[in-house]
Amino acid sequence: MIPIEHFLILAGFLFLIGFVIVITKKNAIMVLIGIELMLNGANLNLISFSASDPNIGGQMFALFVILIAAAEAAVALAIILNVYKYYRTSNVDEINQIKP
Amino acid sequence: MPDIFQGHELLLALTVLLIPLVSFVIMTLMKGRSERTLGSIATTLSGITFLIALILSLNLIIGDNVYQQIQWFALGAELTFNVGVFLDELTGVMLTVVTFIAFMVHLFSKNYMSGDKEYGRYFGLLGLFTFSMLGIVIADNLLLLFIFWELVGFSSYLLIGFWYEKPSAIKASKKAFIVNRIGDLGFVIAIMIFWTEYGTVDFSILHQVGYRDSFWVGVAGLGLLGGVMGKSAQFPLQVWLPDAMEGPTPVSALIHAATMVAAGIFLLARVFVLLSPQVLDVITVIGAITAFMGAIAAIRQYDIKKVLAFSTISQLGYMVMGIGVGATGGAVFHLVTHAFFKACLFLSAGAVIHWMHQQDNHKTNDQDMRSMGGLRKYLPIVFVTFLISAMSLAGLPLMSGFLSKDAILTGVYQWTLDHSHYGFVAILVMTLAFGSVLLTGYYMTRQVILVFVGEVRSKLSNESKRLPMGMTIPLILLATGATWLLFSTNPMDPTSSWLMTLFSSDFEQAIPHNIHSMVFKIALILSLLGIGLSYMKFRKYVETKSSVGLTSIVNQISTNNWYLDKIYDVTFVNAMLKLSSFARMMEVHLIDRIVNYIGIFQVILSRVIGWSDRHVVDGIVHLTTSAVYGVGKIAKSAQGDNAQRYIMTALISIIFIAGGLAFYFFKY
Amino acid sequence: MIVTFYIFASIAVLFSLIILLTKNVLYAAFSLVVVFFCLAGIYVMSGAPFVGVTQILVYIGGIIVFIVFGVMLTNKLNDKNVLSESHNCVLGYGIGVILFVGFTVLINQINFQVHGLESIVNSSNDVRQIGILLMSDYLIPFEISGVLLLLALIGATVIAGRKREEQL
Repeated sequence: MIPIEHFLILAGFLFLIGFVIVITKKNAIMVLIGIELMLNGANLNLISFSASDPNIGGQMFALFVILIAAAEAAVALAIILNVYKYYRTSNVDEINQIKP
Repeated sequence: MPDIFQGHELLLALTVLLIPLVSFVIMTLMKGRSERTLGSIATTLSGITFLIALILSLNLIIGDNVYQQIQWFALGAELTFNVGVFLDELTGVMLTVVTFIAFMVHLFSKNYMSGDKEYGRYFGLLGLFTFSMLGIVIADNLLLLFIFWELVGFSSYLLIGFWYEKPSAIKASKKAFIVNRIGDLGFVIAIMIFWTEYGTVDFSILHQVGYRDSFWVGVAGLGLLGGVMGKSAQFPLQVWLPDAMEGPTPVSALIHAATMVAAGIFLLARVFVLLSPQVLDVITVIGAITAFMGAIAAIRQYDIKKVLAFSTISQLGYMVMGIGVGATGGAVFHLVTHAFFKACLFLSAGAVIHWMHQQDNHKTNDQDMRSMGGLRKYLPIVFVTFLISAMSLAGLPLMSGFLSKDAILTGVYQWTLDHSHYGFVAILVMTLAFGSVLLTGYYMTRQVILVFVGEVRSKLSNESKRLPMGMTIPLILLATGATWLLFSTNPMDPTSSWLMTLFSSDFEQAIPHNIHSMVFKIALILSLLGIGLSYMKFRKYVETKSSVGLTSIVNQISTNNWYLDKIYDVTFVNAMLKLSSFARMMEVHLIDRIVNYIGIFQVILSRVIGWSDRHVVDGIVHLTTSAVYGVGKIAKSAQGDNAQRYIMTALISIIFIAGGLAFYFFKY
Repeated sequence: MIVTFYIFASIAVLFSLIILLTKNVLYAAFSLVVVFFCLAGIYVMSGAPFVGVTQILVYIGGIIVFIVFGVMLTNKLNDKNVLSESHNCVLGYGIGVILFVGFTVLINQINFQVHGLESIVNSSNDVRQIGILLMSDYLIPFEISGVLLLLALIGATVIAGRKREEQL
């Protein structure tokens, strides 16, 4: 049997890769990809604990996380498009004004 | 006739509720169509609503109460939540009044709003508003009522801010919304308390259980009073109503005469059995203060709608006072008659504004009474309807306002006798109540004279222009409702009215007849006194500078609505602004300065090191300075504009904190 | 069985590293697909087949399409490659490594058996149970998330569809 620690280490690894992407990449879409990776890392954590839980609370939570991720991706993309229309760039370090 | 509809009350009630919503949807979908189509559809739907509501309420008044509900949702096995309709006589009367006024307003608006580029949106919003108001009336529990209550607040926000390109309209709508929210906080608390104390919020069960003597039920009563203060513009939350006159005039007629502000009175009448005696006393005092403050504020306004707005506040104060003293029948009666004559007054004012606007002299304000005068000659029908409603408002005999106001005043008088151990407070309530009668006569006479009597005080270019039929018919119908005909067989005796036989409480029925006739004489004398004073003063109206002494103080108070807005500005708004500017000061002067000093210090340090190194070892110079410069840059960048750097900084801090904790606890 | 997990895990690690190290946004997006697939596989074998299928449907069917569209709409088409530059590299990677070491140490410190959690058993939780739970215990979150999705849909359409000229 696979010890649960291995699941957790994989989850932590994905989460941190996502996190490093979020803080190092300049392109806003890469940042979005990083966020998705982080969410998946968290999900893996939930699922692995849920496997020994008869009430499968973790699985339910993971489902809601996926749902939120979908909503977040849609809104984030709409915002990126709008920002791109205005600044003609999607690099987050060049976007530093709140008010146009 | 009602027999055929027996047993179908639920269906009828839902139809009445949903037709305005359908109207809203249709208006939204057909935005681009011509004014004729849109106006006709909306008005027809509104008329149908009125007819069905009339049938339904006849049914309810003759037949039994209807109480039906279905399960809305269930949480787990035991906790179910039901929704349904609660139809009794009060619902019936309110349904008729609301739909009738809405119908009249639709009819009037068809012409009044013609030419407006958002005609469709206007009628759609009227439909939405009517829907939410009807929802309040037929809701069978507090939570459902609260949902519709909030919908009313929201749709009134949209209607008041209908002309959203006017900054003042936006400000007024925001003010109305926010002030209402403050009151609704109390409502929410009250609902929660009822849920915990009674285990339900259904009216049918609450009515059966009745008042329970506990501290928390008293608090809940006060919470409900808070909601009513917001919605029905009671002291100290009445400031939104005068500003809400920024909306179109028919809207003012709808939401400030018959519906939105009446919702508070309706709520009080609904939950009357749950209010504790102490809360009722508070309600009485609040009502009396509001009635008097509104009346004082009305006597010195020059905007034709502002006078009516303040008079509405004053009349609402009467109704709340009526509930407080126990004269629920009188309060509901006054609610109904007030709906008729105040709607008529507002719509007449609308007709006047419309006519002034058509004169096409934009030099003067269309709503300023100082530029009117003598309109009797040009708008005879409007003059008559306005006069009738004004007489009704002032409480002259043969008018409906006379009957209902008399019913409330009798209640107040009896209450004062019963509560004479309150001493000063009891006397104060009665003085304020009767003083407001005098003031009402005073300000209405002043308005009639300023608008309709004398000579025109501005240049008219288009004198022959007449009002269209669509505008005059609603005025005439409403003015008929302002006389005693609809309400009573005997124009002198409120107890003979059918509304009073339906709603009067035990308290009212116990009032002896001699008190009745005495109060009626006092009120009539006071009212005539007010009218006489006003007539003497304004008979030959010329604009004068304000005089000195007591009158000027009253003038100042009246013109500025008791300085309530200023007081709120100084206390709440300014305090908030001060707090935020203090926070900004801290930010600029303290935190920024510290950061700056750190930066400067580091620059100086790097300079010193650079200077010394240049003279010692050239090789180390660049290394050291660049290292120090790098540190300075990092310190600076903590205040920078880059979101990713913020995240990084946060994470570094977390690592340090976690590391520190780990070291502390586990001694790694 | 055990081998499958490690195969999936190593592929996921490999491709997530590719996402981190590549400059081309499209490569990153496609590597993300592979990572998601591997994760879906891991979900299925750790007793959550429904979540695995949802993962494939929503992430690979929906979100990846979003991202690819985003890449196409925010870059000029005449560019040969869609590149993304990086900054804060040293610090970012440093934090990542430190935290990973920290996580690993912490996970190894905790004795999960003591707390009643055992190593993964291939339990068979069927979809039926999830359906029942959604309609009973999780009813309110379920309803609210439905409303949230609708709002996000409308909001995204409104934000993306707005023209600046009309605003003024």
